Amino acid sequence: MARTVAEYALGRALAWLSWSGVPLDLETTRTALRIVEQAVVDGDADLIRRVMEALPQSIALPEPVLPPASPPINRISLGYAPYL
Amino acid sequence: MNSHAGMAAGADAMRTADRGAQWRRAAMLRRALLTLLVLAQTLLASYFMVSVLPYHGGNGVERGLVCLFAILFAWISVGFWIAIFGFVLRRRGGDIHSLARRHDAARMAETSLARTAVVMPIYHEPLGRTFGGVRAIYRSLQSTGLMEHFDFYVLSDSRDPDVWLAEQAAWFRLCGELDAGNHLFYRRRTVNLRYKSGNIADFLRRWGRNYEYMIVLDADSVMSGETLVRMVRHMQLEPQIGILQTNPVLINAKSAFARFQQFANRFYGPLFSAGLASVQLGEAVYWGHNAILRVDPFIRYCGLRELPGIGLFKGPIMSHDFVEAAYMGRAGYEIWMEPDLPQSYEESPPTLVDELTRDRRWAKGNLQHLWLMLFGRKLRLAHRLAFLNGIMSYMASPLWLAFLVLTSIETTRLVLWPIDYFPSAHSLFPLWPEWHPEWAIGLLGSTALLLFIPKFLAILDVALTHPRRDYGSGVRLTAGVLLEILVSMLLAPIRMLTHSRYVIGSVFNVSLSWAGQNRTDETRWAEAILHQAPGTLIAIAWAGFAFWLKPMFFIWSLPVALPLIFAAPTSVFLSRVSSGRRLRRLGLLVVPEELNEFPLLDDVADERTLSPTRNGLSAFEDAVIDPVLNRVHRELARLPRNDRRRGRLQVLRVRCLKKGPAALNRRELSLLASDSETLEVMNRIAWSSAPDSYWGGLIEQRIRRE
Repeated sequence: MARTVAEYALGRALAWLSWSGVPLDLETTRTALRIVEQAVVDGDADLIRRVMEALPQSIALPEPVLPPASPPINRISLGYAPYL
Repeated sequence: MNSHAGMAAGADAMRTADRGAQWRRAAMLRRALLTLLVLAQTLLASYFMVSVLPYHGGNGVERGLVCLFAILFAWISVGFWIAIFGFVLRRRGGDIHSLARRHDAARMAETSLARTAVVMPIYHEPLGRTFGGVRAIYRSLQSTGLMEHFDFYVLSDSRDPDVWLAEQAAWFRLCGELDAGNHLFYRRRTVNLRYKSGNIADFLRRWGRNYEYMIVLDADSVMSGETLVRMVRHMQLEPQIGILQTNPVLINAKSAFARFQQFANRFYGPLFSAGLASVQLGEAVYWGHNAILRVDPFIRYCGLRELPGIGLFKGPIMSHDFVEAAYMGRAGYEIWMEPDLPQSYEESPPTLVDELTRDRRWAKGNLQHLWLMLFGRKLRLAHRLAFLNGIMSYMASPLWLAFLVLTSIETTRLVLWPIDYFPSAHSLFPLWPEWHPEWAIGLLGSTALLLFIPKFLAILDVALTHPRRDYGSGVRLTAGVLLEILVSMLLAPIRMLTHSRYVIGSVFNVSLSWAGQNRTDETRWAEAILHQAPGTLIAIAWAGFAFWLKPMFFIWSLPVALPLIFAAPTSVFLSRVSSGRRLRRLGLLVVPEELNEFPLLDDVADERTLSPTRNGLSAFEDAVIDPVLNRVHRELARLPRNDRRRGRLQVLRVRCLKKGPAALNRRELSLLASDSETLEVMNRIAWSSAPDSYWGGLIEQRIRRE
């Protein structure tokens, strides 16, 4: 049997949360289900987009710890001696 | 207290000056002895060469042959005597002037460290191996407990977005794995000026001021933390040293070709490096990696201007390392190569095709040095000779080729032309041409001895120094040397012809692309045949002509012609990892690093967490889809700039979202991935897209896989 859009939306929501570092405990799963349910109630059009937009408003995402790519720049010029 | 410190500093300065005078005296004597030995041997061999020739040097062709022979013989003789020097010094327990002997363990241990940057310039390198190497070095340094003095920089020049995005992802993962947030940095240049030296210069302009020293690594370099610490301490104790170069050992060879290179490097290397270090002493060269540099003088004196000449001698310097060493020497600093600094490693190109592709750049780079050798202002003689050495590494090939051409002309004249009894216009007496094959064989044999004696001295050296089990058994070791000699003989004519082509191409200034080194793939038959076809055809024609001319000449031509005729199968067979494994199983060409425990190298082999595409997606697709990586790439990307650029990005973004990355070229993808706003928008739209769209399908595919 083909999957419904709501099933896709729920799978997408859980994957997005999990890959964003949110532990998929019961509370989080219930919240995701509620968001999908509400989106289904509101109609089929753009269902996945509406679910994905609602997620960050309902579930706090952990801020990834991003290491600094480089220290602050401390400029200096190189010395170029003439060849001849 | 102050006066004590002053007296100690004064005593240190006097000791440094004393040592300087001592090594300079020793270097002068050793170089004089080397010159004398090489000249005497070359003169004697050239005298025999004149005797061997039918007209005894009586015509232009023969005089040309004698000149070429003398140059090539002298070149071989230098290598021979360097190996003898190395053998003698190693038998006597090492060089008394070496840097490693100056300070005992207690003095070294009490020496404080200084801020040091470990920099690794990369360009389209295999990701797992490159970052695996960084991880191994980092962990090794952590284990010394002195990590706070060091920072690591991966300096990327990669252009392909799938490569540099994967590098960024690997850097992020590695920072997390090593908890290295403030010690491991990543920088990608978007404008790739002046190759690797430009990349290093870019680093120095931005962050050079923060460091006393800089340790330069190649993408395949591995060094132990202890060695890094020791190098910094040597630099701290010897303020007159500008560059300290280690002698890297080849590791991680998988293909048969790489195993032969690794064995030769590991087995003969100690002799040659000890000999080389003994004549260079404080005027050694820099090989561009696995070395430590004093940052301040490097910044002040080692900027590389573009060459001002014409043709080959105009434009950016391609091989920067020798030049930087020469400039450091000109500024009054010493450059040392210290073979006794252990645990410094690099890798060999896996195939002959890869080695020759790399040599194409190196040939041009070394030939460029001719300008500096002749016209460089106030350079030390030792560094001018180092340039000459580099030039001869490639010029020897066309000279050898010219020697073969003249030999063919000489034989043709003897066979087809009437005998010239009066080759010299002013001679009253006729000259009968004579040909003594036994003399020629004697001369050839003595030349071959110069090449092979160092290899057998290496066996003796190992027998007297190492436990033989470091290389397997004595029988396997000898079999390995004989096999290596055979393969060297097979490869020499191929290298000769290819290098000749490169030298001629360089003289006519054929433009080159600067490609990263392949460290994984085997050579396919079609590639090998295409690559080796010119040499094979020339060899068939030459051998056929020799057979038609004179069967004896045909036999003389075979050692050069046969390897060229069979170059393609040789290249394919040697490139195979299965051939390498078979040699390993037979216990042939093994090195100590394979037979003994080396945790540092085991760490390099572990590439698991760094794999670029763990989920089957490209790095670009991952950058769009993965929420965390998307954040990482956004942080590293630029902020959107002007409206014109925004418009262009908007068009590309729409196309990419609709049709996927295959609808854009590499440059367009790079533009998208370099823009933080685009990455954010694409991530949002991709996750909201329908399952039957490109990006929606990709997300479903990744969900299914996980």
